[in-house]
Amino acid sequence: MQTLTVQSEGFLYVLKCIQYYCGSGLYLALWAAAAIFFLVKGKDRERRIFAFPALMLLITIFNPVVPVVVNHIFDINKEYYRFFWIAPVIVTVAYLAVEFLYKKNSAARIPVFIGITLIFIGAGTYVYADGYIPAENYYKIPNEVIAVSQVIRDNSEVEYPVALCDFNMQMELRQYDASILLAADRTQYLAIINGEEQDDQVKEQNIYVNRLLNVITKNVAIPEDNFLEAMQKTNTEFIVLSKESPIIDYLKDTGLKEVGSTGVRTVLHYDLPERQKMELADYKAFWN
Amino acid sequence: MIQLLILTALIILNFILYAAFGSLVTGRLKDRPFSATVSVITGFFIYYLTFELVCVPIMLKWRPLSLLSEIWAVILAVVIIAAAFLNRRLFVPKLREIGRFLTEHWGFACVAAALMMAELIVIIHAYQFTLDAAFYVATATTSLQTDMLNIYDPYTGMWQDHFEMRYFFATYPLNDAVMCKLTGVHPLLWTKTVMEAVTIIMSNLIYYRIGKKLFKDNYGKTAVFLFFCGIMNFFFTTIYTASAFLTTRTYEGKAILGNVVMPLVFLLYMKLLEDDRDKKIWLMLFAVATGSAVLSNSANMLVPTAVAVFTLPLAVIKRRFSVLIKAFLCVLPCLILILLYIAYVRGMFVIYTYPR
Repeated sequence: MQTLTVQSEGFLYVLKCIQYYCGSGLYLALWAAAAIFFLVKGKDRERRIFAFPALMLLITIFNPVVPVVVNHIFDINKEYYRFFWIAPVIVTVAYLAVEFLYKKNSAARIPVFIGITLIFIGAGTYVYADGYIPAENYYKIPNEVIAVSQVIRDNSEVEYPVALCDFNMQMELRQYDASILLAADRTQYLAIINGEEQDDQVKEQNIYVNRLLNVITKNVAIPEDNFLEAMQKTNTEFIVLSKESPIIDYLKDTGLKEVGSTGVRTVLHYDLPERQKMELADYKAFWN
Repeated sequence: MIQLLILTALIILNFILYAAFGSLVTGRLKDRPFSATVSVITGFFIYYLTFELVCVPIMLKWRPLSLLSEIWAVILAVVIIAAAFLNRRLFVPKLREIGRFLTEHWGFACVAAALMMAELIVIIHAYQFTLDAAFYVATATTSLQTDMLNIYDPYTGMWQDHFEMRYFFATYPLNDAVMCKLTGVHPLLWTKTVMEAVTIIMSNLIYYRIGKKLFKDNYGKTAVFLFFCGIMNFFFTTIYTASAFLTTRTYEGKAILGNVVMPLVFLLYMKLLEDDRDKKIWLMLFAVATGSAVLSNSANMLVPTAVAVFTLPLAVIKRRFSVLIKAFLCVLPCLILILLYIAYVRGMFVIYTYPR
């Protein structure tokens, strides 16, 4: 929950977390209702198994004061929602549903079973509601990633070439081929595309990477010398972008050459004037 | 097709390994019958705990992945031989018992198998773009590429001058790298197919054990319970829920944390409600808590909280303060790891990737 902070929400933080956690779904409400049912109407065993831990969760994890206090010790802003995983939502609701079903006579069970299933379907959102995308290959990455990796390998004179890609390619390329290095890490990339404030020290450290990221993500044409200086300082030889990117002409004007294209991407190469050869650190001397 | 057969064999291999690790403990218990599912579940956590104990010293000495892989291969071989030898009298009767169980409860077996197969096919066949794969999968590919452990940044491939403590003790992706090294399988195949399948099956095994316990061995009810659990896992899916991690980010340690560890802590709570003086259940809770720290750094906060949430009512119900002491001891390793992490974040120490 990147956008929620305890500092800004205060005691409302938990409620907002719950809203984010549930979305438009009702599973947490079903769990709460089941726990109340067991507390009031359940057998002693059911009360102990389901209701008492639910009460405990209510006074701890779901207590609005808790994140405010805990946040003084740990930064829990981004990951507080994971505490909600402790609530045995699925087990509790499924158990109640089964017990309810088996209280019916045999003839009524099939329609009740269908009814319960429909309630469960209606209480949430199907994980593939936006479309089921089958994997294109056994690696479960787009064929594009494999093709781009091949183009870079074919056009590189070094074992460890450095590249900078569009965001999706950047996130997947090294999962397939770790011999291709990337000029920017995930944090640097997200900071630029989300327009996050960086403190002065970080900004200073990332000055050249940020310059390149600004060009390829915001299509900002900066003075050629500044751009090429950033390519040199970051040792970046390859830039991979969508064929539709409006900055490609600018990149070609600065001296980058198109060395290949895949389905929807163009791979551009820059002949570094002073290439720093990337080599693995030699640890053998430390092993004795 | 051959690829599919190899991956299936590797999934089975994982369960053989977990069963071997687990049976070395469960096979020695005199006071309870030998259980295949309990052996696999116990073995899963002992496996990762053992891996951690081997991996961390090697990482601290900047030794290569290949050395870790060789040592781990020897350990796996020894454990399998020891389990086969020590439990030779248990396995054959157990296999016969499983055969009898499947014959007697064939309806349940078919429903459970069909549900799990459906989950496996749907989830494994899907393409998911998730940002964290850039870390978890790339940690394995980077380790293989460089033959080093956590020395190079998985996001960029650049050398790091110190270990990132957030991930230092969560060595789950390094086990992926080791297994890739030993089997020759690409990390993408290992993480996004083999380990996805392992996580889904483990999660269903825990649901099965919970259902069996809740319904007191009524397999008709347990089958329906598994069906409802399966349905809900596909619909309780904002990006934050454990179910979403199970269906979309299955290869991450966090998915195991939410869908194997959390339900397992709940199952152990149910067992403790029956007998809170059973040392073996407490030992199991200790193994789960400590083993889960290997899966994800988040476990160090989540597991102690979960144990507290379940054992406080237990202490009240049983009117025994000793429950809380035992619970505290179970999560002590997690708490120590949290303190270490806080000390690191506050700049109190750094572990460098080179001698200074």
